[in-house]
Amino acid sequence: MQRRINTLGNTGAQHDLVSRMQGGDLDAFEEFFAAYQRPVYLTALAITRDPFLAEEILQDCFVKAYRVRDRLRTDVSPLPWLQRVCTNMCFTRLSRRRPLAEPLTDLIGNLAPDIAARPDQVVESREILEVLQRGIDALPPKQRGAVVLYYLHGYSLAEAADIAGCRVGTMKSRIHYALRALRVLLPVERRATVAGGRLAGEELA
Amino acid sequence: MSCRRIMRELLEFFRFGELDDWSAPHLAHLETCRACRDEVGLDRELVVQLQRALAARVAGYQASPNAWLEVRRRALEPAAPSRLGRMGWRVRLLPLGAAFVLLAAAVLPAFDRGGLVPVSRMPVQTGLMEAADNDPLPVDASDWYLAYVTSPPPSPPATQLTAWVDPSGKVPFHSEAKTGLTQ
Ligand SMILES: [Zn+2]
Repeated sequence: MQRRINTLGNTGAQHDLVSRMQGGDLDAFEEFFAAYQRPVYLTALAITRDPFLAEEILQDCFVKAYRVRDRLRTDVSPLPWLQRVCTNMCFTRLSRRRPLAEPLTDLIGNLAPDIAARPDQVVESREILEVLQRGIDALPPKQRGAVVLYYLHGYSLAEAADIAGCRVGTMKSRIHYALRALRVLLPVERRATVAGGRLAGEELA
Repeated sequence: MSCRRIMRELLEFFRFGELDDWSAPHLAHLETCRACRDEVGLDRELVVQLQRALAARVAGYQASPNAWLEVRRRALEPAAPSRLGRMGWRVRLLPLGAAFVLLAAAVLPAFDRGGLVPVSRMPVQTGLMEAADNDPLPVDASDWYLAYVTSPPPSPPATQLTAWVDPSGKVPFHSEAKTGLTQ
């Protein structure tokens, strides 16, 4: 069962746009930009969390698309290619930045009162969300890209893997490790693990 | 099957929408095992929180109204020359400079001996070789410069263009099965 399919699917109009761009039609390029800028911008923004940088990356992606338009395929959607260029640009820009100044552990520590107040459920507070944001920022770039493609855009594993240029198994693995890293940010009461020992007496099967 | 293994497989089933007939025993276990239910529940909650966090990262943002005009302006500009190209005349003079340095290294010792004797007729001079070895410019510098200035500018990483770009037949298209993104 695959719960996500065809989020990057093609239409004849999309093929036509690229063909017209290749013929030097600037109106087609404008339509192309209008059609695809939103998902590309969201990817850049979600990965970098910097609107100015995201805008810069968005522009770079489309300038690049125009420059290589003669080599763009007309038989598949250009969106996966755009998303791949975008994520690669994000990783390059982020690699030039210095790491976060504030240690993540401090932020988690600050959550203690909130967690204690509602120990029986995940605390849905702005602080938790902010800790998760920091957690996402702290993920290795490829894992961050994976969660953005899979959980923000809702692309299927195959689509996300195609964009990232990796195998489906690798994409699964990136998502798995990302979730594992983020999971420790949830309130400790919710984090009892199978390996924690309390399972031994409860296993009924 | 141990709880640990069932848990690992269950999390994968749920995360990647892969529940099917094969998962029936896992689901049966889930009904009877509180700890596994908690684990799956926590994972589901984490995903919900993660989706909220990701949505919050982009909520209310959009590209500036000028984005298109800027893209259009930049796209229509002549492509920026490569790094090598930007170095311009300096690069083109490098082979000449290297040749000059080598010529000087070969000829000047001849002047030292009071006459300009063709290098080919000079007796083997170990001192000359040592001097060349100590020279900061390697003896094969001209080859190095030649390779440097005549090599094509670096091409963009192939990975960026493989799947959706037709590089004039040099790299095969992905098969239908691989792209999998068409309808
Ligand atoms: Zn169990």
